[in-house]
Amino acid sequence: MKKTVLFFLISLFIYSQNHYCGSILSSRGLGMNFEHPNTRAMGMGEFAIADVDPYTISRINPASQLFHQISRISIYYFTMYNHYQDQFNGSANSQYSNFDGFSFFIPLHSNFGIASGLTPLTRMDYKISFDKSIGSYGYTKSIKGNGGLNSFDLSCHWTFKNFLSFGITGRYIFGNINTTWRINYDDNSFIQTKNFFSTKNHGFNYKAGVILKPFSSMTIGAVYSPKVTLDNKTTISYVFTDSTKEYNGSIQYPGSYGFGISYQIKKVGLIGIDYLIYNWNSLLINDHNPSYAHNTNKISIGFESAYSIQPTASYLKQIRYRLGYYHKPYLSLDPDGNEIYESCITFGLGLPIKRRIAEINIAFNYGKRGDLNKNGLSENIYRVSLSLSIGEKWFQRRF
Amino acid sequence: MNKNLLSKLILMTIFTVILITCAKYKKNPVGSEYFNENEMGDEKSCIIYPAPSDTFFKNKNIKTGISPFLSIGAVQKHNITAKSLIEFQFLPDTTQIDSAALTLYIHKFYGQNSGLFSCSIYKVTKDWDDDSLSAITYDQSYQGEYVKEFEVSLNDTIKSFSVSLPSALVQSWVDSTTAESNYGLLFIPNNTQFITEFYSSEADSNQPALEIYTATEPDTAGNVYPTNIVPPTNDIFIPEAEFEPTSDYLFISNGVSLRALMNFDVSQIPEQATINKAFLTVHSDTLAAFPDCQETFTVSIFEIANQNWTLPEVQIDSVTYSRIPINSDSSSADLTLSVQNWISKMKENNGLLLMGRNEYTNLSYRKLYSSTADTSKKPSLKIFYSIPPEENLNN
Repeated sequence: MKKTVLFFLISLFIYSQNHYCGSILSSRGLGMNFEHPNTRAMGMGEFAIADVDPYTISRINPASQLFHQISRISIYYFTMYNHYQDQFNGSANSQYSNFDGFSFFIPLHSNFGIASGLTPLTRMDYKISFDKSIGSYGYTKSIKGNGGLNSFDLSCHWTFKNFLSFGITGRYIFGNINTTWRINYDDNSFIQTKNFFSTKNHGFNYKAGVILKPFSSMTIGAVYSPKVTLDNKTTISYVFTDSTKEYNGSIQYPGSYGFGISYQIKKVGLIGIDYLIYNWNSLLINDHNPSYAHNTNKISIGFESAYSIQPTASYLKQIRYRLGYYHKPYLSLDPDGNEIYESCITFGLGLPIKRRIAEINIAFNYGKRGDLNKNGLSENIYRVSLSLSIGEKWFQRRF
Repeated sequence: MNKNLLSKLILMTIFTVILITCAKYKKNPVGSEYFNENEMGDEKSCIIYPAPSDTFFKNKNIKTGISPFLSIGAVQKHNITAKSLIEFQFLPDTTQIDSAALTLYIHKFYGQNSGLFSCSIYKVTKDWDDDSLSAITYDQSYQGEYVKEFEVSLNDTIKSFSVSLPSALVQSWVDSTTAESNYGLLFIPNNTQFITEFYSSEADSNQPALEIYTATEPDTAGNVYPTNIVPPTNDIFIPEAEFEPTSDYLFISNGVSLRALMNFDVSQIPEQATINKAFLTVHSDTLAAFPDCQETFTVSIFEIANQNWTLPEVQIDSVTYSRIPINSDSSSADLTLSVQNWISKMKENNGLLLMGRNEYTNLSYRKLYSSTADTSKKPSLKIFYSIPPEENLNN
């Protein structure tokens, strides 16, 4: 039985690595916003700005590492299953799984530490096709896009007497976005169009964060990241020539800001709320502002149950149980100018290993994006995030 | 049922369901109609007519000497005449020629398939060869002393005939003192109803032959065989035709070598477009075709290499060409590659040259409607093209 389960899991893992007929919404702009906070936050409705957990590394607020006592590394894995429906009674399913980045933290001093990590920012993976004709000549037009942006982060934080912490992250944003555009005529005597556009993007940005603890049970956090212009080079390949054309362009990646507050209720747990705004209005692709892009404001509410840190306590009492909910509009409007809302309920677990030196975090999300009557498209979203967070005493805070 | 087996079945079922439901890149995925497809590239077609400067002209360098055929005859209805020159040199040194005959092998007829073939033979007055002589350089001065006239009744069952030549004339070609003035014979047609096409020395077989007989006794059966059979050293046909210039038509001719020029302004199509299909359609006057409209007349289309030319010296790009087989009043040729080269600036659009595919080898012509003809008859270039989505182009 164990071998069968193992075989099944490995097969599913291999199969799902590059298997995604993603949402058509990812065709807009730079793709879907794929900047997930850590797995802990994904179990708490993506509440992360005012979270100062000592066992997980925040990918949202660089100031929130103030309670980490030892070095810590986290790796993330993400899987998603979506079910789509449109107003024409069409439906489809998709499956995607992949490595979701890593985080690494080193405490260099009692009030100072550095961290680095790799975080996916956007992801594009779609294919759109239309059957059309010119006169009696039928053809299929299709666009396939894939790729996305990632960020390699290097951050540091400084803490003043455990009630005020500042952090800043330098970000190197990079990634390819590829688009293949085809026109395939039914008549074989026609030349079939195939244009391949490959855009390599890169640029530097920063993100700043602050954590304030007016008293031990309350945490207030804020983050800010300015918009950044990414340079890019697009290479165009045509079907009618072996030579390629290149042009230099730019993308203005939008800035974001947000704030949150959390409160630790004794013997009950932690409750927190976040508000995060992305200024997608400022998105520019080669100096063109896509008319469909608009600002998104996400509200997240999360709860984590109180847990025992006593090694003698039962394992179930040592587990951290999480619940949450978030609500946000998608970065693109529908063709009628309506917002496409996404709502998600979340559930998560923090499973301690070896007196919480390490922790396995699991988050389950169920959500819905779009409304069939209002937007003409709806998606049911099932997500699982898995991470392993390991602490090591390579570096330890010196007080 | 075994518990383990049941578990395996359940797992396999789940895995199979996932495999089936998650086909990658399904055609027309959910939401295809959700977005404005016009934002996702543009596919168009257009019809472009030639600039009014289209014209036809006579090619200066007509190499009918390389043709495997010789034509002799005339068709008055179409104002076409064909003469031929045949030269026999380096004859074997023979003491005394008793008689000589020229045998010609028939390939086909133009105009009609039977009739009285009448021809006058003249001496040629000056030196020539296949390369130096053409319909352009030939003139009356080549026609020398009258030799003889002959008539042969021909029909499509007759494959060859022989005409006797004066033995003194052939003897003079052998004699070393007079051989230097041997420039061959000129055959000028007397009939005006049809043209007979013979095989030439360039043909693989059935070449013209000069049969030389010396004073030899017949064999026991009474047959006399030629002492020598000599192939021509040079032979060529000289086509002549008169076409009344008219702006409504473009003449394209084999033999007489009339060529047409036309130019299409494709600047309305953006540079980044892919040309899915481009075809040139021409319309011909089926009542004005020689020999007739039943026979396919193939037109070769070449791109003009540059703009630095004056008629009739037009330089062509011989690498890219297309062909139109004209066998009805409307015919088309694929020009996708040429139009793509023009649009994507890989080649200059200097226009097109249309010429008969068998320009040097036979006699035929077609009358195509020009840019000044009615819209339904004038040449047209229909282009299907596609332009990628604007957001992918840094315009």
